[in-house]
Amino acid sequence: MANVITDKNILIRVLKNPELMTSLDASEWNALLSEARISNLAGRVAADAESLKIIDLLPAKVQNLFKSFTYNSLSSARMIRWEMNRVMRALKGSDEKVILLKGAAYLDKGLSCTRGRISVDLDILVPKKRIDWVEEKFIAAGWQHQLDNDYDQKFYREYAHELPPMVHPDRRISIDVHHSILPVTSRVSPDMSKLIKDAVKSKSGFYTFSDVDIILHSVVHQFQDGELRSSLRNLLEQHDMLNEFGKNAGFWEKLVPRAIELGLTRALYYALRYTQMIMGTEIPDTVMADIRPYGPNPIVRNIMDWMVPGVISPSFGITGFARWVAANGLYIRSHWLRMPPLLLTRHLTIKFFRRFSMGG
Amino acid sequence: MPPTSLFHKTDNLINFTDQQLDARLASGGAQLEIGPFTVNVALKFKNIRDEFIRIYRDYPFYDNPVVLDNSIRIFGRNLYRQYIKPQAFVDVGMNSDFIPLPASMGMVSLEMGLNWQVASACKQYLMFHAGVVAKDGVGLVMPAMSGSGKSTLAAGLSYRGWQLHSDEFGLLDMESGELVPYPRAVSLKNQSITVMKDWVGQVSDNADEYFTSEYHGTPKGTICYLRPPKESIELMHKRTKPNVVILPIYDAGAKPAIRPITKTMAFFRMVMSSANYGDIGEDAFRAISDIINASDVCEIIYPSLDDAVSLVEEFVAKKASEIKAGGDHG
Repeated sequence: MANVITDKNILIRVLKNPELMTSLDASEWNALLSEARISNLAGRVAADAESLKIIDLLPAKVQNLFKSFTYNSLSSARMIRWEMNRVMRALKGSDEKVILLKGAAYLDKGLSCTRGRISVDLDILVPKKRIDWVEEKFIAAGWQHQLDNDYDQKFYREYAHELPPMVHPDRRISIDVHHSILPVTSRVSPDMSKLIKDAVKSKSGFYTFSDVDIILHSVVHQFQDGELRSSLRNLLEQHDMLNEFGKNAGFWEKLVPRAIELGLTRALYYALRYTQMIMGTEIPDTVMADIRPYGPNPIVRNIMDWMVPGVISPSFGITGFARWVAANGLYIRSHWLRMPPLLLTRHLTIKFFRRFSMGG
Repeated sequence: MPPTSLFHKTDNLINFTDQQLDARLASGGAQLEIGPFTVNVALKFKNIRDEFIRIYRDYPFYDNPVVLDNSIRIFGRNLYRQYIKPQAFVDVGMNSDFIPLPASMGMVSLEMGLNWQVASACKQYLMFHAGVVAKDGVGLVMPAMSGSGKSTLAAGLSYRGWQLHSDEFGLLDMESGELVPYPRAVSLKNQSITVMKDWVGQVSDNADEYFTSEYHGTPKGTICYLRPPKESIELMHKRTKPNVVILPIYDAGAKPAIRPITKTMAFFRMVMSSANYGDIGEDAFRAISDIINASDVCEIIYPSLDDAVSLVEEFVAKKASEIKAGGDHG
């Protein structure tokens, strides 16, 4: 299975086969660099060249730019680690697990997908009953809320799965404190106690989800809750993690059963389908066969097959009016999955009218 | 030897005629080289192209496609914004929203876009918010806040025999320890416009050609851009090690003076002036330490450009003679 849009794309081709970098002409380089920047993958491309030891074979200008990308991603990792240190200090004395999510978890576990990665925020998860305690501790340690809009604050607290984002004024990292991996209003609500129970402690003192649950969280974030638009980096991380964890004994056997247990099969279906289609991820046939019954009907599947590769990067794929349709279709879909129709109508209406009252 | 000899690092670099340049800018763009950066510039408004050509006509351009650092495109987003009430929309290729300015603001959009690209993305060179000039082995860095007169001072020195590196983007190659020239158009604000027109007029008969129109009512008041001296453009690849750091303070009522400062203070002022010090980290710390160890440092306070230039010349004389002596013996 392959895809005609993404297979031709220079960024995807290079991500799948970084050796290609040694044979690009100037115009191809410009296309690659521009797309990598827009998809927030410039550091990744530089890191791939570095680990293949092909930097010396690249044009001088590219070597110079890669130096900049590398400083950038090293700086980002350093800032996230420092923020983790500050969080650990602020939450000292917690009698519950403090679990790192997304980028911070990948960094803490030293996963291959963190090479060249840029993070701008830090996500953690604590049991719901501890969320107020955590907020108090952060405020006491100097963090401040970023949203002063009453509706936004109220919306987060009533319907979201996280506190409104906070930031410490001396640093620039926004911190999101979650108590679930999906909004409380979502169609699917996985039993968080199962994920928390299986979370494992790392050397840093934080916890991270088990390997299978880390992937499922990324998958849910992309295909259930988040926006599919411009989510190439997410898909790439799933591809990397499937490669990396797939080598461990028992991983593939646990993946689909765990998704069934947590009610996250549809999102996993899409993730396996599109990592394989777009990135060529090697997934055992048995796993594909096990997840197939959880896919959508053929009409929806065909629409998704058109939309997902078409809008996964802002720089290529579907263009013009069709892109507008696909992008808005996916925006509405992500909200549809996130909250019941009446609440959705109310939320989108308020957000729509606020555009005018805020003057643009 | 034609004066453009330094441009010919590769046979691909050429000087366009004004007509050729205009045609390139209006279509796919012209690949402009300024010091270490190559940027593709596409301008859909005739008035902005005219101003651009006035400032950048002596710069080298690449004829065939080369790997670019950046790309900038200024255009009207629709026919109304292109022709009826022209508004310059800036695409810097970096996912960032730029507030469009009226197209009559001309070069302001372009220069701000170029500033943004360098200031937000450049980490391969240590960057100082500083005026930087060089002459005979003296590499002079003048870190300062906006409004301290460093742009005027750097430009002023460049029209009195110094090589202009930049009036506000000091760049350092951390591997070689050399300052990297980035001679962009000098951005002049408010009173300094009259000062520089007079200053350039003293050494040139056709000084008017060196300046763009004056743009009134920008967020920073009136802005005007000045073309660097031709020699500085030709020397855009000639690097110098930094060895003098001067903190300039403009004060209309002051008595001109050179005031000593400690190397520690100079170190911290360099750190404070650097936009990417924190991102680069340890390498940046080492680089600034090396600069300060090798440099004579001071603060100057001056009421006029004439005074400032005299003070600079007076202070660098010691370092210049050391370099000359070192050169004679070596």
